[in-house]
Amino acid sequence: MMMKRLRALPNRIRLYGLLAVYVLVVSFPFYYMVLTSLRTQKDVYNKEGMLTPVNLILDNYGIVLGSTNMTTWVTNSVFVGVASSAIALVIGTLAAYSLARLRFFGSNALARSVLFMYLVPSSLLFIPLYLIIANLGLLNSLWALILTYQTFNVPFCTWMLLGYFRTIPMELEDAARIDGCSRLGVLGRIILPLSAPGLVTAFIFSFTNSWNEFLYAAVMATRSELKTIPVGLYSFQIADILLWGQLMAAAILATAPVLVLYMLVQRFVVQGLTAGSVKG
Amino acid sequence: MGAPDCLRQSGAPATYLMAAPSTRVPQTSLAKRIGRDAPLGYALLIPLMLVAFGLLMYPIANAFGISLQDRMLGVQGPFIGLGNYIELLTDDRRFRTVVTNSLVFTLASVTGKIIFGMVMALILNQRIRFRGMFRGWLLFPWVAPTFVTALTWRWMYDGTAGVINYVLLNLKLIDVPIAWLAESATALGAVVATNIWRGFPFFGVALLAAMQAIPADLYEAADVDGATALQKFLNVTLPGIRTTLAVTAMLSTIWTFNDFQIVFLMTGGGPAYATHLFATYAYKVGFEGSRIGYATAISFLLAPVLIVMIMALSPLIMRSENE
Repeated sequence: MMMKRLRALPNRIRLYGLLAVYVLVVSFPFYYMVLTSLRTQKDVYNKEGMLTPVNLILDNYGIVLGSTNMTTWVTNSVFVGVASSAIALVIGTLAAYSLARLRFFGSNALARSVLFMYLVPSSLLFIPLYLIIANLGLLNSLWALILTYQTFNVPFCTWMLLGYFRTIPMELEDAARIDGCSRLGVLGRIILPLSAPGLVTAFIFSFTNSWNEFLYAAVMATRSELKTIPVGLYSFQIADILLWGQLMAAAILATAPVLVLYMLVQRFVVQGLTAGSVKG
Repeated sequence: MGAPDCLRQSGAPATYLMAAPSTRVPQTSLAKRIGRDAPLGYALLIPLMLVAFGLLMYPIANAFGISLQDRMLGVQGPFIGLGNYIELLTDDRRFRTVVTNSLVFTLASVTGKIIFGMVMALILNQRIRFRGMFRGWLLFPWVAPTFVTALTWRWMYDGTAGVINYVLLNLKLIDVPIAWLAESATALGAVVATNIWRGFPFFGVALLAAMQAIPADLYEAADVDGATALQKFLNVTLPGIRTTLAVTAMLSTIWTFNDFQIVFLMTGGGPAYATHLFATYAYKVGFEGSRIGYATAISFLLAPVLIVMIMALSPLIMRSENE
């Protein structure tokens, strides 16, 4: 009977109704996260008015920023994210230029193997990398993370920039070469300036992937002052009582930078999708 | 003869050849095959190669050796050949649960993501107001960090104060609160639901982009022929998005099969191994149980599955890049 009534509705209403359901399902967890972050530990468990915004307080944010290691974790995450993305961007730019523009034996096979590199999952790599990092004596240092994050950031940047460089007309490069520019001069003066949006996007994607990474950080940087945000947050909840208000406040603080970055590169998200991204 | 093979193959425009005649040295057959860009080409790839060898190939080879030892974390262990693999495949009932869980988790998650993503793409492919804004908004679950999603849903699933129980009780859909993540009957399904929520926008946005690339006159021609909406979907839309669908589904299958975070943060693999996947089980054995040799063997058993999936995916991605 419900189906019949649904079918009788005009198309437009059905369409917007379905869209409304999507918007609700997508937004609700976010709404509830915000609501929880604004409640005291007692109110969090209070079933009266669970869904309505009453008795809201900001204390959780103060506690998270003031009396936990949150600021240290944020600093660690920013440092690891910026350093690993910057290194990956340099390596990726050089490799992508070589694979996109220079013709030599094996270049196609090498381009393909960049994709293979990218598809090797962290669940296969985390123990091998842990063992290597332990051998190098780098356990419990942020360099362990900066180094191991290259395993996904380098192939990602290379693959993404490879696609980007190929869209730049060859004629521009030829013209510069006629004027006596070297190959590297072309890269610096023609390709890089024209690829600025691609470089920024690759950097932002790498940064967010590093920011969100959990597994390597969980096994390689376990001392509290070296934790990144995801692992740090997880330590909120090993204690007997889960402090959901604080946890959700910290979660929102951890999400905000990523949201802002994505808004900046929203236009490129679809291109980034084909180049792949850690999640799916 | 004209252009060397390597140039013709790449479809380099003729202007390229005319532009740089001075660099065309007489070609020996070896130089022809290697290509004149070779020295710089290889040099620029050195850093990438260092990463590939130092952080992928060498660690994997080294770890393979360790998977052949009965080794505890931090100490040497005796060489036992394929002992760990044999124990896993013949003797470890938990591992059998892990394999089953991984298959169910992957199949259910990817199917759900495809269905919800497809519907999302179909909605957004209509003429609706603020389409760009809705597209951005619906991307939120995919943009939010996974650890945030996992923790938030864990809280929403809470058995005593969870909002999901609260809503379902008020709607009279259930009579008593359910401890979603603490009961083996519901835990895997609950994690899958969260995983679908997190992953469907990836499909939605990718499929939408593919749909928008389908020429409008194909739909007009179908209209002229009197095709129904379903016929248009099956005969115009679906063929148009086939490659994208295959690529996103394969990528998602690889990532889902190898997932760690969502399960680790929501259930820790419990209750009683009901939600353990390859990665969480390897972590548990290796880092909570210290049997690092055995744990390495667990992750390495992922490799055959992975190789098959990558082999299937690679030509598809190459094709979509060329299109």
